[in-house]
Amino acid sequence: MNRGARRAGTGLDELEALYRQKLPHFRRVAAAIVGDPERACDAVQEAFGTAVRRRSSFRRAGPLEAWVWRLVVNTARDHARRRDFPAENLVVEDTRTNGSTPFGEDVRVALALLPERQRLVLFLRYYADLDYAAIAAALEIAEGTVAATLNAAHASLRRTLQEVPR
Amino acid sequence: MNDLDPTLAAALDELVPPFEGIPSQWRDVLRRGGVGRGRSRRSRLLIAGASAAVLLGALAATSFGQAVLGSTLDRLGAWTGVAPGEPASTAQQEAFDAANEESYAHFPPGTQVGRLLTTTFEGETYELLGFRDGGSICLRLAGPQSEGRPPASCAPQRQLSALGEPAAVLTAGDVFSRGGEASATALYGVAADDVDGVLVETADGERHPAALRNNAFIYLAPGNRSFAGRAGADAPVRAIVHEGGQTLSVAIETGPAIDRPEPGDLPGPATVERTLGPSHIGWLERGEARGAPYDWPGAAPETVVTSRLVHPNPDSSFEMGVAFGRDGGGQEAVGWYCLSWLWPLVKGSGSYGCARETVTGLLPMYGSGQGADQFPLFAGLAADDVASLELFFPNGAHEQVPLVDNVYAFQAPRALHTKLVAYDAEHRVVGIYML
Repeated sequence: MNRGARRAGTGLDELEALYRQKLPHFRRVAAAIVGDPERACDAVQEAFGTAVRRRSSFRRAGPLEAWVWRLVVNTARDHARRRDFPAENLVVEDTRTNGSTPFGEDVRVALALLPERQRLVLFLRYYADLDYAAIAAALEIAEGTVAATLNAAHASLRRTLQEVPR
Repeated sequence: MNDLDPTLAAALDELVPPFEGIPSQWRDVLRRGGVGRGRSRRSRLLIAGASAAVLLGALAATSFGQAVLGSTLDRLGAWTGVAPGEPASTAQQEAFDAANEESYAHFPPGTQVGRLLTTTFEGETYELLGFRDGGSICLRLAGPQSEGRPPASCAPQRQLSALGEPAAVLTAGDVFSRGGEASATALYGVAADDVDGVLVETADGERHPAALRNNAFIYLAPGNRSFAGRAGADAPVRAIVHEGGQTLSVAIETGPAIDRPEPGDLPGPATVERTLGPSHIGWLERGEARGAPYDWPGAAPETVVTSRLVHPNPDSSFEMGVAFGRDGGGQEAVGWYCLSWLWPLVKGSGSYGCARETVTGLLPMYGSGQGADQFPLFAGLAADDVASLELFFPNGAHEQVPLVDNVYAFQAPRALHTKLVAYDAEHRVVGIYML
């Protein structure tokens, strides 16, 4: 095997290994962002397709996993936006119900009211079980910012959940 | 997880349960990534080259393109059903007029539609129509299906000229369906006078000729070839434009934006000069009768204080229904700002939603939900603290974004990173938003 072939193959192998190892985590974070399990799966597929297509542009300045997490998060954000009318700080009207639903609408409302960075840090910490360093690498923010953001998210969630009428 | 309140942890678990039992689909990833069976090394190189070319093509502002497309668009501004092309058929004009009459927002009365080109694909006839909406050039594709498709794709003429390209794609994935299945995907746009050929390159490196006539081009492919669909390897990544012996790559971006630049990477202000706190939109809360009357279509909020129709951008006939209302009463009342998107040619009220009543800077609400739209519309509400908005492009061009009664609506090319800057009344930067 020549050098070039081994390099290209290694890129795909690494991506495939990451995909198979962490797929449930990627899907779960994407579902939290997109709000729909099926569309989350599609977003993850699309993100990994992008990773495959653009793997030559990955410069190894940081971990491959962090680069892929950025792709997954950004793809999921774009999928969420494709619904015409969701966005940061926005609560789509039909989520503002007081009744109990499988996804817990109060929590959805509370999450929707968080600044986007707080949401993403929370999702990566809880749904992907990433440590602070990995979250910092994935979102390209300082590790200290992760801790502060997570604390702020927890505080806001607790406060907002108390405010949401039940 | 040991750093999360158990109550919150349980709530998050309920919100998004762990994924179980859904098989992995690595082969689908490879297909989307353009790694197919038996593909040549040359094809793979073309994919990598195309990825780079998307960005380079987007940023290349050649005198060739700038001169030609700019002058052509001046002429396209005369799209009144006379030139270029020919008047649309009576049936097409009547269909346009009827849809325009039924929608909440309207293109200008008397808008004349021109027929730019007619082509057939898999036994079906497609007609590419053109018209003008204020400062925008619009294309409308008539084909075997009209329901469930975008009624028209528009782009600001000013931005088309400023891009400095010999051609511009307006939409890269107008998907037609038959029997519940995607039957064809259309890509279309406008081209300068001297353009004598357009090829569409897909992610797998293949190049496909587009039909070109009357300063417009269209490429049709079977099934769903939009990136937003499930055929990434077949999705268009750029248009190769020929003029005489020259060629130029025109960017097409239908996928997600990745690696967004920092504010300092684009021209214009890079730092916020004044940090805003939560603010309000006074006229909505006071119930002032600005804009035009509008019946808020939603069942919530419980009490609608104000509901008005605002026309936020003179370059576009897009309109927005805005409302303020409350749930509950007394000190327990919760206020909500609400928006409803109203597109010309789309019957009834569009999608709508509400956000809590405090606004910090902009309440960003992304619109134009189709990933294939190359000039998506961004629209939303700005707090009273925000006095003006300005959009910056990578090539140094910038333009004021209209802000009418706290409502903003503007288009920006998807293939380029752009930066929206918000200023207060003293022209201090109060917000920077990377798009």
